[in-house]
Amino acid sequence: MHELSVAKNIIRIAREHLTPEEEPFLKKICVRIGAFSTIIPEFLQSGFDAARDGTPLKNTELDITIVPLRIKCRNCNHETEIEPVDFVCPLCTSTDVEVVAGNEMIVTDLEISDN
Amino acid sequence: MSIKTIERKVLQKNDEVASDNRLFFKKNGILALNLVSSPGSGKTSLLEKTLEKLKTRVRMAVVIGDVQTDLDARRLDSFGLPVIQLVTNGACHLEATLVQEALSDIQAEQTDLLFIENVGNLVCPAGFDLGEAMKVVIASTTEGDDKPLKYPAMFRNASVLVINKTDLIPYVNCDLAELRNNALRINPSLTIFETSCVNDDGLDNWCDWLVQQVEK
Repeated sequence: MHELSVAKNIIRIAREHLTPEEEPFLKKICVRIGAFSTIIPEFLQSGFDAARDGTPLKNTELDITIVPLRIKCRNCNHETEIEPVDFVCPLCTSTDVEVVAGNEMIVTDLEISDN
Repeated sequence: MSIKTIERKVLQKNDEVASDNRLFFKKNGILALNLVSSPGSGKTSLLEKTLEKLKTRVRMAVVIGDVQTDLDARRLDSFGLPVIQLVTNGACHLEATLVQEALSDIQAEQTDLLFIENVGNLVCPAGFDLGEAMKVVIASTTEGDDKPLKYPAMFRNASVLVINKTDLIPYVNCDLAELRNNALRINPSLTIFETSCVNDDGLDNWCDWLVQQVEK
């Protein structure tokens, strides 16, 4: 539900890093979204399509890379990818694990075409 | 074609304001709790009971977020405490800036415990830091025992779970042990309370714990 406001933030951040001359040539915004970030990629995509309308980025595409949820075991230091409801170390079965990836929402790259 | 690598957090602005809020709470010795739940779990009822029980023991204030109306703030008006209603006008969660705007109205130097009642929603508020010391998730028995598995981010990011409406257990399809197990499977470090705002079961435990946290 909050994907539209996230999309607006993405557009704001992109524009902060562009000159007004560059804006119409921004081809793609690349973002990294964690699987545990509460963002639904399809909703973010449609939110982005709505949010870019009426801005100089109206032809810009959003490229979403999903980062799987990764945990690190505080007991045996094993690091692994998990499904979001299994916060258990598969090696030693400890539940004392920390999330090391999968929460993030990051604007990584801006691809600008030459003309 | 040229590529600018920027590596910027999408919610960086929110996180910066949340840090400012956290600093504000620390400076003023305020314990700030972010109360999150689905709509209708009994957040405001729990607050009513909590304010009633603690009004002579702890100096409290409340910031309430709703999509529309000030109905919740009016329910809490009778306690004579600072109660600030935030109307998000459609937004499904509170953001740090909105909370920051409310902080000038809570009489910070006379507040030890601040409740921030988030918009009823088990998804979006999980992602937005407000600067609170802890998130308290309230799950009512009428929602069933599987909510932690369906909304893991909220339960993982919370420090405390209050299982509310325990008086309705005989009438609803909710296994209390299963609800606790599911919550602890997502987050083994959760502190769990069971409360009823109808027969007052468990409220003293919850309130005593709050007092302990304030005194820490």
